[in-house]
Amino acid sequence: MFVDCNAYDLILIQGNGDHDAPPSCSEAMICFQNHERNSTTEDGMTVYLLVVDENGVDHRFPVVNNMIQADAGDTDCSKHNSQALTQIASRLKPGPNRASFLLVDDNDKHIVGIAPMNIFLWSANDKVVVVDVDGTITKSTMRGFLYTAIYEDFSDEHCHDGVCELLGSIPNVRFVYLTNRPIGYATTTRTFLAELCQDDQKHRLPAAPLIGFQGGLAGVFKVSKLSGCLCVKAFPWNSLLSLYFCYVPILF
Amino acid sequence: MDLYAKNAHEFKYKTLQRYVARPFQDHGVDNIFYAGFGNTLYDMHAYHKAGMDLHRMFLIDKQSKIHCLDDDTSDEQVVKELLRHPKEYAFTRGTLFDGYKDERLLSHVLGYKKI
Repeated sequence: MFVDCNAYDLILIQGNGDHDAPPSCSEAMICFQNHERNSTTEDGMTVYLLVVDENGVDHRFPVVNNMIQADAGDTDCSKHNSQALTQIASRLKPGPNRASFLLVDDNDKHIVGIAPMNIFLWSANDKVVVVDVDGTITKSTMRGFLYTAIYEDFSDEHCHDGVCELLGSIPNVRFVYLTNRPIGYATTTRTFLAELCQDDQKHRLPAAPLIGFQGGLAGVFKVSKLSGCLCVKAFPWNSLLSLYFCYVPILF
Repeated sequence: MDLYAKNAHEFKYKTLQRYVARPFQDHGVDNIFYAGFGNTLYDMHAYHKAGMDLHRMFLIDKQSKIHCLDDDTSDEQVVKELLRHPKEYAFTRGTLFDGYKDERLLSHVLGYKKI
């Protein structure tokens, strides 16, 4: 059985000047079939971070409690293993690097699920620009989510004019795309951000990590409605839609 | 993420702290955020609480008009109130831009200073 998987990106920071300081890294955010997963071996499965080096060689690192370890038997899983991060950093180039999380059956070592993502190798001197997705890159929060995440319409028709050019013109910074979208839509959202083109395909959004909400779609509606962010009046059928998503389990 | 959390901006602030700022803090670096773009006052609240300067925060509406939150808020007490009431950020809206294609916007983001 192959399960559907999604994950947000990782940010790996290398220090400047101090060659003895190990790299630091954000926590992993992974979802397998809409169930948040951060541990291993409860059901005979282990999560691994898969990094491919420039020679095409695979390197796997177990992930326990959202933390990257060097060995599945590591006892301190409250933080990332420094050796593992150093090994990973040595195999990456600055900026975006393709990677994935694997869900592996411990018995037969078969891969049961793959969550593609990126690892961004940055410097501790970098400055960060944060960009919201729905309503900020897309014109509308609700319609933007529906067209780009549900209908997978990645045209710029639903996006603010000039957003790609403006963000691409800001020099010497790193970007983070911060979203309220559920983690189950991480892969689709990442594809949208990578494929969006404007001005006759002259401009694209800068490559940057996608970080977001780990809950399900019902949770997004609940949080949005409680905080007043979601404008129900904008969509005449929105109340029906939100009721459906709140009370019907979402299967990804 | 707690499904019963009441505030989306609290989620965004905590996410920025936990997943973006913390790896930098492990290297002894704070104040990493240069600018922020969002479409709600709750986004502005989250960015401000995460350490961004108000004059580098940009609020866009559905008509693509963009406000920079650079209205004069140098008063420390006013700034403290902002951090308690997200909707108060509406009063910090200053310079207005016609959209992302407004020629003045990039200069404003860069603040006429080399990054």
